[in-house]
Amino acid sequence: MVPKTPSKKADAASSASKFSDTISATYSAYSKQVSGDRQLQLIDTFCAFLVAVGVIQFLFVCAAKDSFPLNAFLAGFSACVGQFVLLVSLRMQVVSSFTGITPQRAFGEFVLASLVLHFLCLHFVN
Amino acid sequence: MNSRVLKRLEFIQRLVRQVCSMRVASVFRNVVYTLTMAIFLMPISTLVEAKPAFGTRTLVIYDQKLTELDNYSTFLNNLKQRSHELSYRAIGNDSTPISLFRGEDKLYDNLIVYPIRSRHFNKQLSVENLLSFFSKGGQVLTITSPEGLSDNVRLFLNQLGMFPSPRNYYLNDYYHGDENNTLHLTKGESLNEHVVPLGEYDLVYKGAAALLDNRQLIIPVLQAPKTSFSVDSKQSDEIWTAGSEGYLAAAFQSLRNTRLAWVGSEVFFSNEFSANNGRFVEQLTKWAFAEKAVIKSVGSSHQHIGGAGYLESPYKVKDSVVYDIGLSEWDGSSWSPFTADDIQFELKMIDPYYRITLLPSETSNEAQYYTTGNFSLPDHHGIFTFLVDYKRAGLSFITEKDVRAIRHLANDEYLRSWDITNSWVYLTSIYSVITVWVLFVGLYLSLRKPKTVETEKKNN
Repeated sequence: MVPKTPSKKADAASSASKFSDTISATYSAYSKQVSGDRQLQLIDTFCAFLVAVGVIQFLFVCAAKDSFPLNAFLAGFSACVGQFVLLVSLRMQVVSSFTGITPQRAFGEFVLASLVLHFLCLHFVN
Repeated sequence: MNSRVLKRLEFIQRLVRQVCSMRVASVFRNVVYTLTMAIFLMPISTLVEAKPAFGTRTLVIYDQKLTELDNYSTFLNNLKQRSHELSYRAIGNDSTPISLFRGEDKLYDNLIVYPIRSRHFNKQLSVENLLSFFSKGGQVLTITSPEGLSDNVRLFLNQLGMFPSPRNYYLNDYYHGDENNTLHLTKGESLNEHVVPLGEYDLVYKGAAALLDNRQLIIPVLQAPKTSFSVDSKQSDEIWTAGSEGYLAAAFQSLRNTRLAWVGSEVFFSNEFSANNGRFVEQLTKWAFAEKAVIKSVGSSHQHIGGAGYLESPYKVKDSVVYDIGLSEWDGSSWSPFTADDIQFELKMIDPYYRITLLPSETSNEAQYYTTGNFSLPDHHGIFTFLVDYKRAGLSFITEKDVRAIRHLANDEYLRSWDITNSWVYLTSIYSVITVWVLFVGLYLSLRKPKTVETEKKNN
């Protein structure tokens, strides 16, 4: 019994250190990937913006305690989510393009899909 | 009304003067004077006095052997003063049927049945006859007594849920009564303010008590004292009512607003006790013969708050509408405004969606109008009933209903998103996403070109 407690503590400590290690490793990998690549930076900035807008809308619904124009909320929120998904799929192809699909084509598809998304959202919000 | 009476009086005086100016003997003059007065004053008295709302033809049925009508002259004269045209039918040894109808029409509006012992009466007037008279709008006052309770009247009352004690059962009370079973109710209280005004009455009662069924159309009017009991005068162990479970007077109003009153004592109406019972009897018979507590609706309406009716623009959900109804009360001689603060309006589709207490609005000579004020229709489409169902024990029942459809919104009647302030947040976010996306595409393209060139160089 006695030796177990320190070992647990050691475990906890080690796991915490592992976690921070993981975080820092991830962060360094990410910054290594992004540094010097303006496109990726641009995509990530846009992603962060979308997340922020989505969170603001959700908080607004919570604060107003009323989901009354529910279609408007769904349109606004899904605009953010949909745009985010499209951006992420563009980002994946920018990092390493899929076989048989050139980055140009990927970007063209992204533009087309985004236009369809905006069209749907604008109509859904009525 | 007063001016009409004055005019008539002037006319009479002029006529009398003309008659008197003729050279006739003074005796003859007096006779003429009294005659003209009698002829002309009779309609005046009918103008001034109360009268029933629906009809004045009254038939009095009595047993020759039991009832001496002279003993009831005060009561009957009181009825005459109230414009009743009394016809009498004595029940004796003959058994010719009593007809209350000619074809489908009632011959009488009101019926007073005194206690009747004669066995012929059951054949002369059947229970079915009595019931059809009552259900076709005839108002009935039944007086029974331990000496006279004929089977047809008893069965008729039983149909309505009143069970008077059988023959020879007398109401007795060692505290309020004397050896002749005459009860002195010094604090007789009316149980319904509309039938007999509330307050303490000093009443004298001798007769039977009745058990009443527990149904809503029955209106108990006078309760037997706690110390009383009705017991068979021949077999003293048989008891019909004990204490306050018995009733001495009761009323009944059908859903068609026909009225019936029952009193279990004949002498209750007699001249002997009219000083005590007169006021109570007058109020009870006034109620029974629809001379008071008669109310009616003069019409209801509902419309949009702008004034457009249903036919111009049918209702849709959440429309603001207003409902009005006018109510009149028969005050004995004419229809006058009826005031109450407990009239409710209901908007129903199976369940009430609204139950609004009506507020008085305008008053005319004949009616008091009530309004719901503005209220918005529920956010639910369907077939709704606009209903005022005013049923109070003692007052005439009023049911005014109008069934209308409330439609849902058409496609182009919903608010646009920019009309709703809440959705401005979502609109802003959508447009900001689109704007930022346009900027993104522009920036992305501008960043892309040099990079592709570089990669090409590297590849080379």
